[in-house]
Amino acid sequence: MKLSNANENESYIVEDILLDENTRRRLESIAVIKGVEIKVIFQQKSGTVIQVGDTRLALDKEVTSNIILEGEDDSTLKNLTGDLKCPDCGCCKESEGKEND
Amino acid sequence: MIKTFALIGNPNCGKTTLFNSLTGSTAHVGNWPGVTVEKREGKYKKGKEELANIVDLPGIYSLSPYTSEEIISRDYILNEHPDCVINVIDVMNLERSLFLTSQLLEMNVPVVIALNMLDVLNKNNMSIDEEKIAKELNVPVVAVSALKFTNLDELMDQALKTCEIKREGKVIFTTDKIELINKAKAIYDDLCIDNSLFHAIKALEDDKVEREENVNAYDKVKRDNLIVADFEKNTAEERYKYFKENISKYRKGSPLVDSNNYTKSDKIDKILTHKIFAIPILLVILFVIFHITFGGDLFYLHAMGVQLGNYEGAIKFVGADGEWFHPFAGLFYDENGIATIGEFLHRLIDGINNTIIEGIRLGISNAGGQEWVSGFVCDGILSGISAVLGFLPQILLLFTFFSIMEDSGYMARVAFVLDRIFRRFGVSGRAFIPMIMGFGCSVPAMINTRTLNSDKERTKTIRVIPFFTCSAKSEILAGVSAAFAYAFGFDAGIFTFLMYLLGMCAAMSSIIIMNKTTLNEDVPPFIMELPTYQRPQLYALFLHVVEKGKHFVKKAFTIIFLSTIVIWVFANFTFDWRFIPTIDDLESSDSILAGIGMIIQPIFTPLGWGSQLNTIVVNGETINSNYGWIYSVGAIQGTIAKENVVSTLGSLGALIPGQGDLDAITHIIQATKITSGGLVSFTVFNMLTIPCFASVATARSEIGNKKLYRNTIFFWLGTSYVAAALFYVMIDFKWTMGIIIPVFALSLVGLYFFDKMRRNKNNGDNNNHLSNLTSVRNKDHKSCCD
Repeated sequence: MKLSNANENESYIVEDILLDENTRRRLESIAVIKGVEIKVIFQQKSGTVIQVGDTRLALDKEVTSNIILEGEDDSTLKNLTGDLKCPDCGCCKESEGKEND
Repeated sequence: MIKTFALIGNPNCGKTTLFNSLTGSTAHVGNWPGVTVEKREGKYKKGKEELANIVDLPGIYSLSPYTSEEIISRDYILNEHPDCVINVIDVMNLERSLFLTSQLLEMNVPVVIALNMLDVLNKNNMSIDEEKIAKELNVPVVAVSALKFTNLDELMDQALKTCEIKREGKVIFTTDKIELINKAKAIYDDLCIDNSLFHAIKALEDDKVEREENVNAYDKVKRDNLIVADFEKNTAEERYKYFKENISKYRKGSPLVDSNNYTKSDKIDKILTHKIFAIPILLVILFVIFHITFGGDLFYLHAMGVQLGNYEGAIKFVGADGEWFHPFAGLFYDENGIATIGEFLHRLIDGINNTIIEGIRLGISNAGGQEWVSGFVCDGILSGISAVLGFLPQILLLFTFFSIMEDSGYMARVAFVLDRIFRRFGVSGRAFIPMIMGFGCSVPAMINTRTLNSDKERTKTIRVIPFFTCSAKSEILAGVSAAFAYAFGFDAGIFTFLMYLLGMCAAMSSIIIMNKTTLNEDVPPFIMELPTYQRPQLYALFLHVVEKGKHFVKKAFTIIFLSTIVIWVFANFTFDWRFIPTIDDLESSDSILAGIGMIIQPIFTPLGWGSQLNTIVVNGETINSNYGWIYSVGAIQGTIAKENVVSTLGSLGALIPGQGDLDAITHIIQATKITSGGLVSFTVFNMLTIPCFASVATARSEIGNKKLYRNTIFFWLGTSYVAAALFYVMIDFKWTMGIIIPVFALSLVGLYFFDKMRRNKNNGDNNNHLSNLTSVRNKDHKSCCD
């Protein structure tokens, strides 16, 4: 799930950071890296306030939309690809359902 | 030989507080990142003995530069070779702070770690074992509180001992890339490059500064295939893993939270950064600040019907002209209402100044002194300077309010809240910080743009900083708004607020236009630490306000002092050096200054304060006005220093007969019969034009590129001229609004479509990139259907 969709007052593990190199390095220097636990303090129109360790960070929507957290993943595919979905089955969940049948 | 110690650390770790505590200096302390941009130096003394130079470097998160500020700190350590680096760490933000520490320890420089904010740690019932941390990192560690002056002497004693011991850089974290690092280090050693380990790691990280500074070494590292993908990302993970496993355990306890796991700061943030109320709260705060500082009717009580009558003042004496003089008339309240704090202080200083001036004038007169001496001292020097100093209390009050906002931590939240809005205009919320500093002074505000990431964003911000009414311009506002209220019956506080708002709107509009035309670019992402809210430190606040006051008074007694003397001489002597007041058939319009003013005056005719003021209508009769040139001279003088506008009008106003108890600007308005549109135009011109020579010089050094700089000067002059002309025309010839507003609206529509065309073209390029990205993703997901 994207950080921008995460719930307030809950903790998550960062799965991936899909940003340009400069931004990623900037986040690294303030301890936002893959595998770190973050807590979502507030979701605002401007972006998200998170807690990493003892630090509170304000991140805008462009950044929070590209920080992927461990959890439900459908929205990631849709938002990255726009209307593009898996060309064969429409979406991953559908295909899982078919496999289970 | 005296040692030099550098203070380095993350923003908000208390470096500057430590610097102040060690040196007793007046470096400004703010509670949001980026407030210290230039290094500050001071002396550490024990008793009377000077033991060390202390250099306060800008706050940085890493030595892999993201901003030019970080390059300044990195370059200082690498090139200036301080005897010891004191790494200040906020003990309440340990893991994050250690990222910089780990990079610092890769350099060949003696290091002492200062674990700051010991008082906050104790307040939260937490503890830290600095000895074990010292053993782990193999450098001295001292727990201190810069605010409470705890263990500072121990810290300095440790630094003085440590600087005598040579230290080699070391990788402190466990990494599976140590072989690569050693090979790269060997290349740098072969080329005899100092700090080889640090540079080697930077090369492996593909650091752009390293690529440019050590070209040969970097190329060799690359040729030997030592640079691997994701080196920097992986080592960052390894660093944090090391801190978590080996250092964090030495700090016991955690910050106090409530039952919902919210700290005090979180609870305050819920209100101050609320989705709906955050911006209205900010506007209310700003309005209250301006009202208390400049308003003439406290909380609009008079407007609501509270009447206290006139106050003439108990102090009075007979002046040199034989008339009763009441220097403190209207001190607490007058016919407009109860004075606000700022207005009360302004009247108090004015009263003191005027008492001194009239006393000196009386003294010279009684001593039989010549008229020109009295004029030179009282009307030339003292009137001009007092016109400036009279506004000093209001300036200091404004600084105090903005400093409180900074020191408390509120400014960082404001930047975050406004980021969403600023982004639409083409700059990030971080640009708000230098812009808001522009309310104090353009010079430090322009310097502070170094915290912005891109050159274009920096240039855009520098160009609009002068539109934010600085302390010098607020003097003009204070003088003009009071005169405007007297002459045209418009509330001074509202006039002032609208002018501030105009500046902000002009800034935003300019950024939009620049972003859609010459300086278009995508706005860099907003990432900012939100410091804990804290009560502003009164001592630091006091120091900061005193520093600003000193700077302002120094400017008054140098540039403005000289300008005032020059103006008085030019205003009271003719081109053949005859003193005007002693010669009956001469008037001030025969002066050198009037001559210069009349030559340049036509330039300002489209603005409403040019040649049209050469004739005025009095009782239906058109007569020549001899004083219309005053505005032109004031505006030109204002380009040297904005305070000159008020001092020039002050000096020249005294030359026009019949002033009586009126202040100079009101007197000039009445004598020249300038219209309301003309006066608004004059104010708008001075609000938006070049702030001062100092800011022009600063812009030159910050922008760098000659073409951009030249365009910046044209931009300032052009915008102020056009905006002033538009205001004059729309106010005095209201029918023109029917033309100007539609033209303006059409221009906006045209700009919108131009920008849309440009974005559509860019989106076509981006879609190709996106389809590449999605094809990778699709590849992963396609497997679900196999």
